[in-house]
Amino acid sequence: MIDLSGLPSLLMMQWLPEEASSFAPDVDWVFWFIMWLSVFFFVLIVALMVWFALKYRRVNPGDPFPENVSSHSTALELTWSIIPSILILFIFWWGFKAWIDMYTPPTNAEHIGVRASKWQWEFTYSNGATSSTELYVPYEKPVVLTMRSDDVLHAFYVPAFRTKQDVVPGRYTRLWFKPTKLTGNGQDPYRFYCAEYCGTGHSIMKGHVHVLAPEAYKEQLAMLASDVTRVLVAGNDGSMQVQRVQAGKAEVRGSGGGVHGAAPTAMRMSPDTSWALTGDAEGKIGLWALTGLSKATTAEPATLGHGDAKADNGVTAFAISDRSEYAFVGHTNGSISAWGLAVAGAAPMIKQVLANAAQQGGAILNLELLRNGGKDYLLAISADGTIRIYRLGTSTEVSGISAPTLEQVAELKHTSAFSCAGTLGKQYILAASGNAAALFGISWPVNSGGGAPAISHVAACSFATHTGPINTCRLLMSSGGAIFGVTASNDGTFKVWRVDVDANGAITGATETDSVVGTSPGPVQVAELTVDSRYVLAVTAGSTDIAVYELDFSSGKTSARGTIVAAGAIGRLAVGRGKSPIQSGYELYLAKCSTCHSLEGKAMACPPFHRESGGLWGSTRNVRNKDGSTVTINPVGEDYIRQSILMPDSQISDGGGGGPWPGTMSNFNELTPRDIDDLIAWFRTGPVVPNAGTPGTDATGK
Amino acid sequence: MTPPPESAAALPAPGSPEASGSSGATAPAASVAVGDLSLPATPYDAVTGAGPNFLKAGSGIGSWLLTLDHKRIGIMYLVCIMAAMALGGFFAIMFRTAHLSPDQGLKAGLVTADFYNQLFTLHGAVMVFLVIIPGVPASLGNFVLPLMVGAKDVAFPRLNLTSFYLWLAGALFFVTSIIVTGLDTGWTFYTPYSTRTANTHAAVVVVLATTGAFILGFSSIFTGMNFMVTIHKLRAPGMTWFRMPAFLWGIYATALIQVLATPVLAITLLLLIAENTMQIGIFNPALGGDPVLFQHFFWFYSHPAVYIMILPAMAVMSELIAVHSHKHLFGYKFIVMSSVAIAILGFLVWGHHMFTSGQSNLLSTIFSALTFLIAIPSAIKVFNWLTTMYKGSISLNTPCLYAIAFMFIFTIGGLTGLFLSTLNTDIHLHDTYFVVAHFHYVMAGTIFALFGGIYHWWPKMTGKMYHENSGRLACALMFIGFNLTFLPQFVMGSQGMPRRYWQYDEVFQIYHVASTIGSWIMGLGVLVMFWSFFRSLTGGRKAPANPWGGASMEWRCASPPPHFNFDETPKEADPYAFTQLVYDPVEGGYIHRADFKAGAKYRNKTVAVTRSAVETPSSTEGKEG
Repeated sequence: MIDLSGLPSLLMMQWLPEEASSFAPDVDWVFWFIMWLSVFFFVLIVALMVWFALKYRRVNPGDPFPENVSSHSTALELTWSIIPSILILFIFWWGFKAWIDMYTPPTNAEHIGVRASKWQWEFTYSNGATSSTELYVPYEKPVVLTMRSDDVLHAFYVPAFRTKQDVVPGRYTRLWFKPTKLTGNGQDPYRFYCAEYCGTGHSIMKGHVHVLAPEAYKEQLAMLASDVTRVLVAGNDGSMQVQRVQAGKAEVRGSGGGVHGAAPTAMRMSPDTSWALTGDAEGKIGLWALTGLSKATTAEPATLGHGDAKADNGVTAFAISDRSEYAFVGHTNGSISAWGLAVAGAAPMIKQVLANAAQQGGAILNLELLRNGGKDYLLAISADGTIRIYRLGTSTEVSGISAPTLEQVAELKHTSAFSCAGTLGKQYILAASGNAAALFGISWPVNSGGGAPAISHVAACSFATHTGPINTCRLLMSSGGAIFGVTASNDGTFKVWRVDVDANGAITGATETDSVVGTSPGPVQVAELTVDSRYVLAVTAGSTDIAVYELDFSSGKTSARGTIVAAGAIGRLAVGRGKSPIQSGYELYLAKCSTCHSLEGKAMACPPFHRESGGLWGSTRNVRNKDGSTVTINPVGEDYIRQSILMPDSQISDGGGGGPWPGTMSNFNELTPRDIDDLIAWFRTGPVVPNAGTPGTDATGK
Repeated sequence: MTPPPESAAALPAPGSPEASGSSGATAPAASVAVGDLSLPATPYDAVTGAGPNFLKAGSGIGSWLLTLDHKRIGIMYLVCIMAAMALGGFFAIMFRTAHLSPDQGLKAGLVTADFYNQLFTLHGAVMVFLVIIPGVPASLGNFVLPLMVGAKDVAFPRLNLTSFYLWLAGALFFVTSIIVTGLDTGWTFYTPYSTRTANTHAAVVVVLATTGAFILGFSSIFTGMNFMVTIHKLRAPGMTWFRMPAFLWGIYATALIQVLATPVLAITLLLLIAENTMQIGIFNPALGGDPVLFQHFFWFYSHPAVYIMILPAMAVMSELIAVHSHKHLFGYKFIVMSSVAIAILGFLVWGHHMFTSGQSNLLSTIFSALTFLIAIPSAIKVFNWLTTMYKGSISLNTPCLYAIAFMFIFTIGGLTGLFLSTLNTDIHLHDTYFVVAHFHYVMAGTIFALFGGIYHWWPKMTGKMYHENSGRLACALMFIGFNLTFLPQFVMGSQGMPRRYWQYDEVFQIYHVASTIGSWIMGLGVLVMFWSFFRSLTGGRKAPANPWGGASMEWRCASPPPHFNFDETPKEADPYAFTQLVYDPVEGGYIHRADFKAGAKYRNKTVAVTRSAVETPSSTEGKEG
């Protein structure tokens, strides 16, 4: 139970932690010098004391008093004043000299922003990416942390680096270090802590520092910038916690509660994952702000805010429009209500517009908004085995908030009732009846102008899968187009299925590729399962752990990738996958700029961004003003890029050489300020080309 | 002490008919007013002509609660301080026990994060404000100081009682408000956490607690002032500054800090209250204030306060070492001047608490250098105590064992201070368990000195001897427990274990477990100590006037002393001239050589003084000479 492995080094007086920064050896030298000096004086004093106490021990009270003993010696007093004085002067000087270095960061440093708040850290890297419990730093390169606090005093402390600095609200403090030892390959990441008392969560305000080789560091930053997944975890007690998952590692980003008394019966994250809806059996609806997810530079709240609403019936499913204007809510009685949303402002709001936009039999299991041929549709699956597609009609407005009406365009009534269902894009449905699951396909008329979609049961693909009722069905698609189904059951397992499709995309069959037993032993039930691209998150009922599995798209096998620990027993999960500003910026580049500006040096119609030599950001450009005078922009930064997009003719660039270039770029006023922010975030990265596999693999089909 | 040998039984015991008969008359039962002090109407002792001992001078609860007698006030302080210490220790044992396991889930059932934070706040606040700061000066100082200067009482007895009640009121207010409101800021009240804690009524919480500390501060100021005036004005004839016992110098230096530094705390707390109640931006950045300013203010008081805590302990030490070595205090002038040097330098080092706070580098450099300077006077003291022991005649009784334990512990406390005053090592060690261990080694040094002092003056206070072996056992348990508790904390602190952590990394568990077991042993030691006190009070042997062979004035009056301490103003001799004393087996204690020669009936200094005043006035001169 107790780790005794540190004992030998303790006895050898070599117990200080790993020396992993350039300061560490200096600090340790001084430390051990003082230590041995102290040991010397301590042993001297105690030995003399014990020796005197024993040698001059008074045995009988009547023993004679010592006579004729000196009670003063100036020589002695001077000796033991002057020798320690010289020693401490030396120690002071030594400590001072090494310490001054700790406050003099070199100029070629890597800058990382640090924001501390009760009770989490946020690190913002040069490319705009952020992380929280894991800090990544480059090996053998000075790193400067510029730190601020949102609330109270905190202190950033890395024992292995032997450095520490308070983070003070109302001012910036700075800390620098040069990591001298890589992590990985047997070296655990170094721990960092909050060292200044800050309240309830003080002792959980900690994490790891990963020291990466320059290349790995760069890759890591790009990954942080592009791979953003949120998991909203609802506890059995109705509490909420939002965790951010990247590369299978989770970080708690906020928590809240106060809407539901028990686990919600439906949860859905908005398409941009900046907020979420939860609903319970009593019809209560919570609207949770998870702001800042898709915009890494914006502040994230320490707690989830919420706006409450109440529906007439218990809530079982949500669908949320792409731009978060409206939502459909499925109910226990089979009704679908339409709700207007206002989530952008300081006080997010949800309001019912149509109490009964549509009515089906049985509780609504799934609602998905689909788009085909420029038209919006709602796919609704209910427990009695009904699958319907509605076309969205004209908007109804109630006091400034509006939601569309529904008009049924297709229907399929399955022979048996459904216990759960999952969809993939606008084409595939996986639904379960008891222990068995079935696949359905939706065919859309090729002519976008008209015609209703048709829903069909894929007869070849009804399969008995589990020994207990299936409670969750999900479909997901790899970036290469492989489709997988996942079914989780009360029998304590989940299974992965490869779904085979023909050249036209029609389902031809399904094969089991993996079967996974839940994390806890005994008769367990997989309570909820949510799918996020290549990660499968599984929870055993009543457990506090979310098991993370990574799905190998070629074999269809899963491998355990650790667990995400929630605050309490988990009731339900919602997963969202947000685009980072860098990803959005890159996509904007592809859509708006790439036809003229190449990334590499390839000459197209306009100057390339020269990614191979560091890109536009921070480069030097000679520009010509309107009046013909020339000026050099060095370095190119946010202001110049913004101006070039919105007022391209105000300063004409030489494009960094390679010209002449034809004409002047037309302005891009159609870009929103946020679009431009995203573009700038992307330019800052070098610019990177984010992981191409990300788009299209989302379980929700977006 | 060994009981009087049988052979001495021929000599009449004190209070026997033979002894009292010689006086022949009983003093009139009259109330005698002396200055402000009214003496209770109790008959004078037939033998001595002096009043009854102070414990018997007046009876009933009222005679204690309204007493102006410094000895009774000192004892009331002692009882209350020991009660506060038991409370503070109880909190510590609670959170240390929770630290047996690093596991959050297991701990949450016993001690939640918030409860843990409240516990260490309570422990720190109680131990600092209620135990260690008032500890030695208010209890032992009150009892011993007037006796040592040869005075009837302190200069302002009413102010003295006021101090006590201010302390009591402040203490009750402070502890109640912390417990009721669940204050969790730590004893340092750092802003802006203290002005915006999770509690919605945070402002009220902090205002209440700081008001408590404010009241306690005034108690401290009044006591310090009282002692300073007493030492200046009421010294016995012939007691020059350099013939004062070193204890008085220590208390004087402490009083100096109390009077000069505590008002700064009061001002700081008032500013904090003003900020919390009127939303004036002083420390809270949200209101435009500066949180680091609070740290400057706070440590401008609280660092000198560290010396309010340790100087009296050193003062006690000088007495314990000299008396129990039965040898003149070595390097007296260096010892007393180092107290003064510490008191002065103590005002100039507060910034060493703030090396990582963001204060300017120049400030940190200066504070580091000044902090090193303060090591020298402390070292001088330790070396002088050590040399006092050399060629002494050392009684290894309980007070002396506590003194030896103090030197052991204080040396570690002092040496580990070097790591923290060095700039680059402090950056690593600041706010870790290393700091926790360091200041406990210094502060608990105070506790060991306090306990040693209590045993040392116990016979004088109660008139009873204590049971030596239970005293020694308590000391041994506390010494072992203390080191087991805090030595591992140095190691885990230097490995990076931050302080005030409810949950900790598993690698630190072994140290936490050792530490927790140590705290239990220490707690057991305190219980044994209380048991030894109880045994002494119920069945202890009657104490002689001078059981140890001390030469300072408190050993010249009876044990317990009469209401007015001395019947006539004693004349000062060297407080460390032990050779003029001789052991009297009948008395079971030490008496002046002259008294010993004068015969069997002069066994008690006070008896001797009184009798010689009545019968042979010339003999008094001889004794004092």
